[in-house]
Amino acid sequence: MITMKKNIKFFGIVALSLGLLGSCETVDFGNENVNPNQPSAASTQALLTNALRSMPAKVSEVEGNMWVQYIAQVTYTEESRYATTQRSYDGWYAGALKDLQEIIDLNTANPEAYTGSGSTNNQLAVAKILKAYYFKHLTDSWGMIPFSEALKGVENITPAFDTQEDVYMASFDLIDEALASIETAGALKGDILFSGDMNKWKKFANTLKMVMALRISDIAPATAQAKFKEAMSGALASSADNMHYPYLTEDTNDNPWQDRFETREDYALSDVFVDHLLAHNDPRVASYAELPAAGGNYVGVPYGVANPNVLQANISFIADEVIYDGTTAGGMIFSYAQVAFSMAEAAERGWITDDVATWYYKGIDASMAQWGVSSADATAYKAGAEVVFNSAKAMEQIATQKWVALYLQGAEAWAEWRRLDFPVLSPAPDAESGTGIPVRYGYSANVAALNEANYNAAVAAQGADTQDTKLWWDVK
Amino acid sequence: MKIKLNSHLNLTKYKQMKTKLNGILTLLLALVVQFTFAQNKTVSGVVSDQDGLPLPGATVLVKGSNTGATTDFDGNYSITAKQGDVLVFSFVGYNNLEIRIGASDQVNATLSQDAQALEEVVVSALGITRSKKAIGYSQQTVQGDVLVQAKDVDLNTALSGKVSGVQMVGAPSSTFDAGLLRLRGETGVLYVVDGIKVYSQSDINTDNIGNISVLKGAAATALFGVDARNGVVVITSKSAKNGQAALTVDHTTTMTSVSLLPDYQNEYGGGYYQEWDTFSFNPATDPADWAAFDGQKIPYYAADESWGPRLDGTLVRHWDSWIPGSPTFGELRPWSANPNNIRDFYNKAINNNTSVSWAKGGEDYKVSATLRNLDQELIMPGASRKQIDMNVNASFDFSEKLNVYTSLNYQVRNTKNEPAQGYGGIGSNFNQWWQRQLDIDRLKDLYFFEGNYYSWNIRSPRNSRPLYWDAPHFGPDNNNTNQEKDVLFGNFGANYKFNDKFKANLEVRRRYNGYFSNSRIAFGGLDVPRYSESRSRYEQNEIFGFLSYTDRFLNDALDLDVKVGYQMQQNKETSTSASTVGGLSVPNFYSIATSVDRPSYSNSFVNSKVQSNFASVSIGYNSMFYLDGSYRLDWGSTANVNDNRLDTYGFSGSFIFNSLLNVDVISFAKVRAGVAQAPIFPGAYQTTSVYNVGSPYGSNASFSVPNTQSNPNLLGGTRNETEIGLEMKFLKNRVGLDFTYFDRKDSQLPVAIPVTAETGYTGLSINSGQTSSNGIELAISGTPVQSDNWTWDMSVNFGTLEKRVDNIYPGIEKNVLGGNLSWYSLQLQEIPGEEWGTFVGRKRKTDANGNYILNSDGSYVVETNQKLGNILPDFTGGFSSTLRYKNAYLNLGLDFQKGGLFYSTTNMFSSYSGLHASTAGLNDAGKPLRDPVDDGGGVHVVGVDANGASVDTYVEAQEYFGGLFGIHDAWLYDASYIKLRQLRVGYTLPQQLIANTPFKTVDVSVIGNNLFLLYSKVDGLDPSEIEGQGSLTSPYRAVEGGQLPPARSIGVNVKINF
Repeated sequence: MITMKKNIKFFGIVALSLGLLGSCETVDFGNENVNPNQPSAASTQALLTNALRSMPAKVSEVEGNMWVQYIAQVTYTEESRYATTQRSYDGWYAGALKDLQEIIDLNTANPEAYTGSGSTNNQLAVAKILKAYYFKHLTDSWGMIPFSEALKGVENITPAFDTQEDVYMASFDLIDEALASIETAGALKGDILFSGDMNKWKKFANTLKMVMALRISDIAPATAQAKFKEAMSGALASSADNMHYPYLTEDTNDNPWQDRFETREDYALSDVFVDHLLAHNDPRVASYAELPAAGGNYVGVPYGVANPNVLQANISFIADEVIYDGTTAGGMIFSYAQVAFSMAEAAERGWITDDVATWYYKGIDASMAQWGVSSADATAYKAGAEVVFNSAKAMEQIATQKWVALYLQGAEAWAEWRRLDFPVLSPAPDAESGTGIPVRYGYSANVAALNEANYNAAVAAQGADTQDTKLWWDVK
Repeated sequence: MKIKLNSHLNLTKYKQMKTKLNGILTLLLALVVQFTFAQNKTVSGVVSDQDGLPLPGATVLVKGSNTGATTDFDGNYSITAKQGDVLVFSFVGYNNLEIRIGASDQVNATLSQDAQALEEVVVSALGITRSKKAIGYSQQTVQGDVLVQAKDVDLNTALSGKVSGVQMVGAPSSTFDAGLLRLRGETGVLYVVDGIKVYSQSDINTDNIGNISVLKGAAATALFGVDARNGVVVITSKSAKNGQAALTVDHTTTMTSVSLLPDYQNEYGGGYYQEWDTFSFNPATDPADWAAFDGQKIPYYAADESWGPRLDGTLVRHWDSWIPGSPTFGELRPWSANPNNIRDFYNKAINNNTSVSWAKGGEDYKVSATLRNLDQELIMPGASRKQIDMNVNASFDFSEKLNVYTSLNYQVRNTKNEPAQGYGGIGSNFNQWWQRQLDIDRLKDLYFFEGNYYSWNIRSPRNSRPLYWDAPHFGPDNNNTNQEKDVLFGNFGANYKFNDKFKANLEVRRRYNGYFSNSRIAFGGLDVPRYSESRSRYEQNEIFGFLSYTDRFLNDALDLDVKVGYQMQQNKETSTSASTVGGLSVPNFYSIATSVDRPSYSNSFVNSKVQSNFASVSIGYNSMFYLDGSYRLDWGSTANVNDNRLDTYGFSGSFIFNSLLNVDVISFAKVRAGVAQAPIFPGAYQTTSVYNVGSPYGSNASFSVPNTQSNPNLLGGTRNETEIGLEMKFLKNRVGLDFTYFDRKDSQLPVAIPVTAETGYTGLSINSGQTSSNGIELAISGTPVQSDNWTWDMSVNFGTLEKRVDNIYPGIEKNVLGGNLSWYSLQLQEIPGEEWGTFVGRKRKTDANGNYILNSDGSYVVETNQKLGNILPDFTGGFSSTLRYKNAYLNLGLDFQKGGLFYSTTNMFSSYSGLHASTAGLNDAGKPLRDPVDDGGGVHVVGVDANGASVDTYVEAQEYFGGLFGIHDAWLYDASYIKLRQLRVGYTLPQQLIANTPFKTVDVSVIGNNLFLLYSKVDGLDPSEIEGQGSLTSPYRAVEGGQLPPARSIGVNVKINF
C-alpha cells in the first residue's frame, strides 16, 4: 500500500514538472541564430564597389561583338549562329541593381548612418546614375523589362513589365535628379571608377544622357532633341576624357578578355570586319588585330558558318594588348570618338548648327588616337575614297565610321547598328534560329516559369519572344 | 522404439517346458542387454547458428523420449542414443532441426534463425526492443549477416533492394561516393547506431552491424525528433550473448574492373573534316632538318572531336612525333583504330577488407569489439582509400538495479585522388571530347618527356601547348587530392530500475566528424596552377533521458507502458578554406603562401540547438490489440525567435486477428494503422539579414545583398502522415506478406524557393504551402523449399510513390527545382496540381500525327519552355534469394526500377563530337553516313514543313548531330533498369575437416558486386548510377554530365570462427 502511494507521488511530481516545462511557448536561445559569418551592418561604399564591379559584364562582353560581326568564333560556332535564344538578366537584377537599390534605400531612410561612405547626395546621385546606366543596358537588350515594380523583394514577387519608353523616361528622370544634386566638393568612397571625382561623374551622366537621347531619336524626336541639347555641353570634351574601366592585373579584377584567352582560342576577327578594314586601308587594323602566326596579311575567320575549318595559325586574332593585358584596351565605357560621332549625327539631323564634317573627322581622329595610330596615317585614311565626307551619304558614313570606332564595345555597337542600319550586314549563313541578325534577346526560361502572367502580358504587348522582334526605339 | 520380439518369441516357444516366468525374465534381460550392447552409444557434436557461432543453451532431445541434453558455452553437447534415433535440436528464435543418427558418433547441427518468428524482436525509438507483432507502423528488419553478404563496405549499397519503398540512388561505382537512400521519395534519411545519430552512413562499420531496422513513416520516427522525418535506419551493433565467447576473423579480397562503356565508332579519327592537312615547312622559323617533313600528312591535333579522316592506315605524323628528342620523333605511323583505348586506360583495382571481432558475454556483462582495416582502389589510376574502424560495445550490470553501458566507435580514413565527376572530368574527356585513334599506352609512356608535359591536343606541330585537354594521365598522376577524415561517435548511459514498475535512463551522446583536405592543379598542364586547402569540423552533443512506468492490469490482460523524457541537442560546424588565385609563384611548390595574387579565403560557423520534451504511452490488450501514442514538443533555435515551438504527435495501433479467423492456412494476420506528425525546423541563420562579402577591388571591400531574402518570421513546418498496413503469414509462416499504404502532407515547410530575379533576389526564405505524396509498399517473402538438405528463402519487395505540390506560396505558380541543369536551360520544375518533378526545356516540334516539323534544310524546328516528362519512377523494388544445400549456399540480390527520366550529357556530346557509334557506319541507302550528301551520304531525315508538306532529305552527318546539341527531348532517357547487384556462392567446411584445428567454423565464398545490368533502355550508360550534376544530395538524379563508367567487383571471402 505504502509503496503504491510512493510510486504515484513520485510519478505525479515528475509529470507535473514536465507539464510545467511543456507549457513554455518559446525557449530563448540567446544569440544562437545570429549569423557570425556575414556582416549585418551595411557599408554603402562596399555596395557601390560591388555594383561597379559589374560593369565589365557590359563593357567587355563578347556577344554584341558577334552580332555586328567584329569577331567570329573559330571552332565552336553555335553562339555566332544565334543558337542561344533565351538569355538571362537575373545576375543584373539580383546583383548590381539590387545593390544600387540598397544604397538608395539606406541613404533615404537613414542618411546619418552612412555618411562615412561619402556625402549623402553624392551617394544617391551616383547610385541613380548607375541604375539608369544598367537599366538602359537591359532594356536595350531585352525590350520591355520590370522597372517600377522591380527590386522590392517579397513585397512584390511578380513585378509587371514596363514598356521601353517608360524605362527610358524614368531613367532620364533619374539622371536629371542625380545631376541636380551632385556636390562636386563632396566625398564619395568605394568609387573604384573615378576615385570620388564628382566632375567625372557629371561627364559620365551627361554622356549617358546624350547617348540615350540619340537612341530614341527615331521614335521620339522631340524629346530626343531636348535631352541631347541639355546634355551635350557636359559630356566628354576630348580624348583625355576617355573612360575605360580600371582593370587590374590580379586575377579577380582583370579584363574578361584576358580570362577568355587564358587557355582557349575561341574568338578571332571575322572576315567581314577584316575585309572592310583592308578594303579601306584602315591603319587601325594593326591595332585591332594580330597578323596570322603562319605569316601573310591579316585574315578573318568566315563568320557564322557551321565548320569554318581554319587552322589557328592562319587567322588574325584580337590584339595582344587586349587579350593579354586589357588594362588600357578592351574595356572602354565611353570614348570621345562616340561623343564626336553623336554630335555629327545631331548636326546632320539639324538639332545643332555645327558643321557635320568637322565632327565627323573629329570622331575619326579621336578613334585613331584611342588606338595609337599616328596622325599621318590618320590623315591618309581620311582622304580615302569611301571615307572622305560626302554629305549625300552623311548618315551612312557616320554610322559606318562609328561601327569601326566602336570595335570591342559590343553592347554599344549592336545598339547603334540596330538604330542606324549601317553598315549593311548579312546574317550568319548557317543560322540556327530566327530570320536575321538578332535585334533583341529572348527572355530566360526562369522568367517564363516564375513570372508567367507578366511575361505573357509583355509578349502580347511587345511581340513574340524571339530575337527578331524589333524594340521600341528600333524603328527601321 | 520398437523391440524386435518376433525372433525371441520363437525361442520362448522352444523353451516352453522350463518355467515360463523364468524364461520370460531371462528373455527380457537378454533383450535389454542385447539392445543396449547393440545400439545405444554416446552421440556428441556442436550446435551453431548460420554464422557459425555456437549456440550455448540449445536443447537436444531424442525424439519420442525424455532423454535430452543442453549445449555448453561452446555449443557442445553429448547425449545417449541409438543409431536410427532422431535428434531434435531447438533454440529460442530459431527453427527446429531434426537429424537422424547414422553410423557416426558425431552429429553437428546448424540452426537457422526464424526470420518470421512471431516473437521477432525489433529495435525502435528510445532503444527499446519491441515485439514485432506489437508494432503499429511500417518497419522492416534486415539481419546483419544478410546485409553484408556481398561484403559491401557501403551501407546504402548493401541495403539496396532489401526493403520495400527504400531505393538506393547510386553513385558511379568507379568513385568512392556512397549511394544515397531514397525512402518514400526523400533523401536525408537519419542513421542511428546504438541510439547515436551519426552524420552519414560512411561513418558506420558494416562489419559491426548486428541488425538493421528501417523505420519508414512518421509514426515510427516520431520519438527520434527533428532529424528523423525522412525515415530512420536503426542499427544495433553486434553484441555478445550470455555465455558466449567468440572470435571471428573475416577477410575479403576483390578485384574491380570496368563493366560498361558507351559504343564508340572506330572508323574515323580526330579532326573537324575528313581531308588531310599537310605540314608546310617554313624556312624562316623551322629548324633546317624539318625540311624533310614538308608535305607530310598531319592530323588536326587541336581538335577534340572525331570527325576527321578515315582510319585507313595512311601514314601520318601522330602527336608524339613532334616531341623533341623523343624516341618517336619524326616517325610516320599508320592512322588506324585503337578500339580498346578507353578500356585500357582503366585499372583492375584490388580491394582488401579484413576484420576481426570478438564477443564475450556472461550473466551480468557483455562486451564485443570489432576492428576492421580497409584498403581500397578504384579503376581510376592513382585513386586509393585506406580506412580503419574500431568499435567497442559493452554493458555491465553493477547491481540488480543499475546497468551501465557504452558504445564507442572510431574511424580514421584517408582518401587520395578521388576522381571528379561531371562535365570536364575524365569521363567527359573520353566519352565526349576525344580523338578515337589515340593510343593510350603511348600517351601513358610519352606524355612526360625530359621534364615537359605533352598532350595529344597540341595546338600545332610548332606549339606544343594543349588547347583544350591535357594528356589523360596528367590529372591522375599530378593533380593530387587528399582527404583525411576522423570520425568519433559514442554514448555513455545508465539504466536504473527503481522497482519492477519504474525505470529511468540517462544517456549522453556525441558525434564528431573532422575533415582535412587539399587539392591542386599541377604545374606543366593546360590550366593555371592552383592549390587549395580546407578544414572542417562537425559535432553534435546530446543529453537524453527518460522515466518509464510499466504495469499490468485486469489480470495481466492489459499491458501499460508510459514514458516521459527530455532531450537537448547542440550542433556545431566550423570550416575554413583557402585557395590560391592567379597562379603559384614557386614552380612545383604548392602552398597558399606562394599564391601570385591575394589568396581567396572563407570560413563559416554554424551553430544551432534543439530542446525537446516527449511522452509516450503503449497499451497492449490480450496480446491482440496494441495502441501507441506519443507527443513531442520541440524548441529550435533556427526558427522565429517569438515562435520557435513545434508540437507533434503520433498514434498507431495494431490488431492481430488470426485467432479470430481460425483458418488453418493463415498462421498470422495483423492489421495496423497510424497517424503522426514530424517537425521541420528551418536551416540556420535564415531569419536574420546580412550582406555577402565579395572579392575586393584592390583595397576596396565589396559587399552585395545576398541572393536569398531572409525572413524574420520564418516558422517551423510539419509533416502529417497517415499509414495503414496489413501483415499476414500463411502455411505455418512459410509465406509472408507485408503491405503498407501511406499518405503524407508537408505543410508550411521552411524552404528557400526560387523567385523571379527582377525582384532583386533569386530566392526567398518562406514557409511554403503544401506538398503531398502517397504510395504503397509491398513485401512478399516465402520459403518454397524446406527440407533436411535443401532450403530456399526468397523475398520480393516493391514500392510506388506519387508526389504532388498542392500550392507553393501566394503568387507563385511554379517552383524551379533546378534552373540550368544542362545547356540551354533545361529545368526541373514543380507545378501545383501536377506530378512533382517535370522536366521543362527545348523540344522538337511535331504535328498532330507525331511527324517532326522540319526546315527546308532538314533541321528541326525547336520550341522552348516545353514540358518534357516526369522524373519520378513508376515503381521500384528488389528481389533476394537464399538457396542452401547442406553446407553450400547461393545468395543473390537484385533491384529494379520502372520509369523515371534522366538527361545524358555524355550521349549528347559523344554524338556532337563524332565519338558515338551511331555517327558512323552506313545510312539507309547503304552509303557511309559521313560521306557528303552529294555523294549519297548523310542522315536521312523525314518530316513535314510548317504547312504540312512532306520534307524528305539527307543532312550532312556532322550538321545533323551537331544540330541536336541542346535539344533536350533528344537526350532524355527512360531510367528503368534491372540490376543483379550481389551474388554470393559459399561453402561452410564440414566439421570433420576442421575437427583437429583451432577453428570452430570456416566459411569460404566467392562474391560479386554490381555484377550485371540485366535490363536498361539506354546503351552504354548505367541508369542505376547516375551522378548528380550540381547537387549530389538531391533525391532524384536528373542529369549526368560526364559519367565515369560502372565497375564490377568479384572476389573471395574467408570467414573463420575460433
